[in-house]
Amino acid sequence: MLTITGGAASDCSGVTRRNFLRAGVLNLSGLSLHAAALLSLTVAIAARADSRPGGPHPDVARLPKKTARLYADTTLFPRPTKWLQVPWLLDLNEGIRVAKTEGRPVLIWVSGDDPLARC
Amino acid sequence: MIRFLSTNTVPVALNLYVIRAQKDAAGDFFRGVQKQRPAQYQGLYLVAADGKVLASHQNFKTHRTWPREVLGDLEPGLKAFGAVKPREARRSDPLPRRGSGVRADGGATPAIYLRYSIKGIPLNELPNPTIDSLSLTAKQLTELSPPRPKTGVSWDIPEALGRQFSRVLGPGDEDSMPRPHEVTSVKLMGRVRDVKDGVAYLVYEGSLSGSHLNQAKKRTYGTAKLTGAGRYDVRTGRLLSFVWVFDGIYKGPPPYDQPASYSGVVEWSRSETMNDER
Repeated sequence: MLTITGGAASDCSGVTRRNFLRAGVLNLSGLSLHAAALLSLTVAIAARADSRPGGPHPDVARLPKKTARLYADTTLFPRPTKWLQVPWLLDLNEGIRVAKTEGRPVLIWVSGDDPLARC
Repeated sequence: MIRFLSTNTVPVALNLYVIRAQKDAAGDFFRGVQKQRPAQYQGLYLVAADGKVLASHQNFKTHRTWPREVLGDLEPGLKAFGAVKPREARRSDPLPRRGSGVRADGGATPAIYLRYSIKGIPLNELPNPTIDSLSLTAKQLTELSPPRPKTGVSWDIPEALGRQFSRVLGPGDEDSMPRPHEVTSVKLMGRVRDVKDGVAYLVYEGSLSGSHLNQAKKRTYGTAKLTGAGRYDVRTGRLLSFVWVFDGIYKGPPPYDQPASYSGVVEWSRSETMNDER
């Protein structure tokens, strides 16, 4: 994932930690944050990309309630991960070979992490 | 933008530190690309197969306009290349076995998710978590398993294996993340909670801390407490699944070093559907 250069501590969406520290008002019609998170997780699963959990992990039900809520909060994907819809190759030699065969350019996405992994 | 990339180009995703050190034709190709764009550190490059850079993109103005900015940078390069036949490449899973299944070598690749505390953030402003993965060998999988599958049996997870979970100590990009040798304390253990119908139900707990010296030579700190659960097949002697949840505090490099709550999940299931019991 592209990261913002310049030293701001950032998450992998490029949002700086300052954004996280902004106070906000939960605006989901009276749902508690955790209920909203679980609802959104349910909805998100229906439209998930491969990076999301494939479904409720079999061991989550055996976690303490507080830990299970933290699991739900952590694995919530409120936004689609559309970048995984692209047919990425991970081998540039293969990419160059295909580009020559098909008569089209290579699109190289390079980052300081494994772009399909850490972010 | 997805359509533009998928139908017109051959998209390749690379780790900068790996490709620029690679001693083969691909490495030479990429180094040639960098020479044509010396001011660019990472990002997107549209490159003809002969190595000529047609367009590139790194920085952006706003998240809202980012896709348009990318297209604005890349479309002229594609136009200069000439007409291309729309591509019908099928997407394959670039991260097979992440979070489930067993590799051919007997090892596994648990999935990792990390995010700062979401309390107080409106849902419509919430970004996705950081996603990552961890490579475990077959031996390390057995070290997550009980030595004897009997109720009450507990075991310490070896320090060398515990250090491999250092990835959960940095919720941002890899420059936030302590490496295994930067772990300052690790104490992780497992216990058989009970055994029923040939399955040993496991609990995990412990703590992990570490400090990373980042590229700017500044320190980050992460510390987290583990609460986890898992299953072990008594008959086959194999770990079936586990989910570890980390509740942590992270301090970024100065001046972003106020302690921040974050959480991490490491999960894996032997079954690729995540639902089978065996």
